[in-house]
Amino acid sequence: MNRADTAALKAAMLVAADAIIDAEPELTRIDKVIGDGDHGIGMKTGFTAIRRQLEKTDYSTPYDLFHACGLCLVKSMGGSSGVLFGTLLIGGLEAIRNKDILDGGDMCSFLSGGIDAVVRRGKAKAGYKTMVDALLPAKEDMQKALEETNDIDRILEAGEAGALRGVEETKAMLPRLGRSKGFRESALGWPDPGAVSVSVLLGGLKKGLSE
Amino acid sequence: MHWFAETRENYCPRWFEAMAQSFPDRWRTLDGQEPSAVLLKRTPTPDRVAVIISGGGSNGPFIPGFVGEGMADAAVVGPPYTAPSAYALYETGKAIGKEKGILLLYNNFMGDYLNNDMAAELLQLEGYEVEQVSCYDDMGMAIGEPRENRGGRIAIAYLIKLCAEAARQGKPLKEIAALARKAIARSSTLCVAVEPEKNCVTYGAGFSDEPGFLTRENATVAGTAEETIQMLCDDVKPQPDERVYMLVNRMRMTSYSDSFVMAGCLKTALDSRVQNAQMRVGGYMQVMDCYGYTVTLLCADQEIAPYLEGTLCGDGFLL
Repeated sequence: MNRADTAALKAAMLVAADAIIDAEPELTRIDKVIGDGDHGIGMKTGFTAIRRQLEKTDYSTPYDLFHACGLCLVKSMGGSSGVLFGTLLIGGLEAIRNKDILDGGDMCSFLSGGIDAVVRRGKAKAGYKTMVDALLPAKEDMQKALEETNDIDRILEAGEAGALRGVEETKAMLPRLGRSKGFRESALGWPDPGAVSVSVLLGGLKKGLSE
Repeated sequence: MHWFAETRENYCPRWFEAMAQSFPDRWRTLDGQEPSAVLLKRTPTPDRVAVIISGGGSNGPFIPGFVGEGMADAAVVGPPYTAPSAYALYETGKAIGKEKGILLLYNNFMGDYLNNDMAAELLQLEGYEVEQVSCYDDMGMAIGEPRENRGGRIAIAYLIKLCAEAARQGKPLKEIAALARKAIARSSTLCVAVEPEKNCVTYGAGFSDEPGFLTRENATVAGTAEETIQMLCDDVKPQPDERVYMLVNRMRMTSYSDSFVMAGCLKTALDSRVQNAQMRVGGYMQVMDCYGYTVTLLCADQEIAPYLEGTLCGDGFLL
C-alpha cells in the first residue's frame, strides 16, 4: 500500500493493538528480570483500551484517530509508559493536521515528530537502555528509506527494521534511568521492554497496512 | 497504612469526597478521574488565571489543603506516593481554565513532570493557554548538579500564595509564570531530621528514605538553628535588596510547641544575618514519620515581595 486513508489506518491500529496484546507475556517476562514486571500489563491495558475505543468509534481524519489513540493510552495506563507511548502518538500530530490520506513521507513526519517529543519529554539519551534506543534508529531508517520510496508500508517496514536493530543493541546496555537502573548488572543480555514494545507497535502498523 | 489497607482502592477519591462533604462551602470534587482525584475551589473564578497544583497523594495539608480563596483553584493527586495522571490534569484544566489560561504548579519529580508536561501539550492542542512551573528547592537533593535538578519540597507553598495573589490582581498567565520561576530560583529548603533521645541531627534527608548529607552528634537546639540558617544562606545568598521569607514546617512527630521554640531560634539566627525577615511556622507538609522540620528561605525582590504579604488561612495552617 503506498498511501492510507483514515479507515486503513484504523484497521492498522487494530492490528498493532492485537500485536501488543499478544506480546504481553514476553514483555512481562523481560520486565520481570530487569524492571518491576508491570510493563507488559500496562501496555496490554493501554492497547486494549484503544481496541475498545476504535471498535465503537469512527474518525474522520488520521489526526483525530491518532489523537484519540494517544489519549486512550494516557487515560488508561498511568505511570510513565502511558505518557511516553501517548506522546509517541500525539507529539507529531501537527505534521498531519488537515490531511485525509497519509503517504510514506507523512507517516515518517508524524512518527518522527512523536519520537522527537518522546526524547524531549523523557529526557533519555541514546544508550540509556530505554524505548529511545529503538525510536532513534527507527527514525533514522525511515528517513533513509524515504530517499527511495514514498510508500507508507515500506516506510513502516524500515521503521520496524530500525527499531529491531535498536532492540538488539539494548541487550548490551546498562540501564541509566527509571526503576530498571536498580537491576543494572542483571539487565545485561536482556533487551529493554519499552524498546521491544516500540518494535512490536511499528511492526503491527506495517502488517496492518500490508494486508 | 496498616488497618487502612482495605480502603486503598480509590483511596484518594474517597479522601477528597469526604473533604468536600466536610466543607461544602469551600470545596467540591471533579469526579470520574480514578485512581487520580481532583479537588476544586467551590466558587470558580473564571476571570482569573487558574492555578492547578498536583503531586502524589499522601498526608497533608499539602496538597489539597492549599485549595481555596487566596490559594490554588484545584489540586490533582495520584494514588498514594504516585503522580496524578496527565488525563486527570487535562480534564481539570478543561473544567476551570478556559478563559484566562492555566498555570500547572508542581514539585520537580519525574512522574509529576511527565504528567504535567503531557497535560500541558494536550490542553495546548485544544487551544488552551498553559504554563508550567516545577519547584526545585530541596538542597539535600542533586548535590553538585544544577539547581534545576533538585526535587521540590515546600517552597511551593509560597509559590501558591504568590501565584494566587497575582491571579487575583488580574495579571496575565505569562507574567505569573515568570514571577513563579523567579521565586523558585531564589528558594531553598533544608530538611532537619532529629533523633531527640540521642541529640542527633541529620541534614538533607529526602522524603522517601533518601539519606541525609550530614549528621551531627550532641547537637543543641540553638546550635542546630545556627548551622541550618548558615547552610541555607550559603545556598541562596540573600541580597541587600531582597526580603527573606522563612517557612518552618514541622514534621509529624514534632510537637506544636517545640516547633515554635525551634522557629524562634531559627529567627534569631536569621536576624543576625539579614534585616526585616518574615517567618511563618506550621504543619504544611507532614510527609515524614519523624521528629524534625524543614526550613525554607525564599529571597524576594521588590517585584515578588508584595504578593507574599498578608496572612492566608488554609486547612490547618496559616501562611
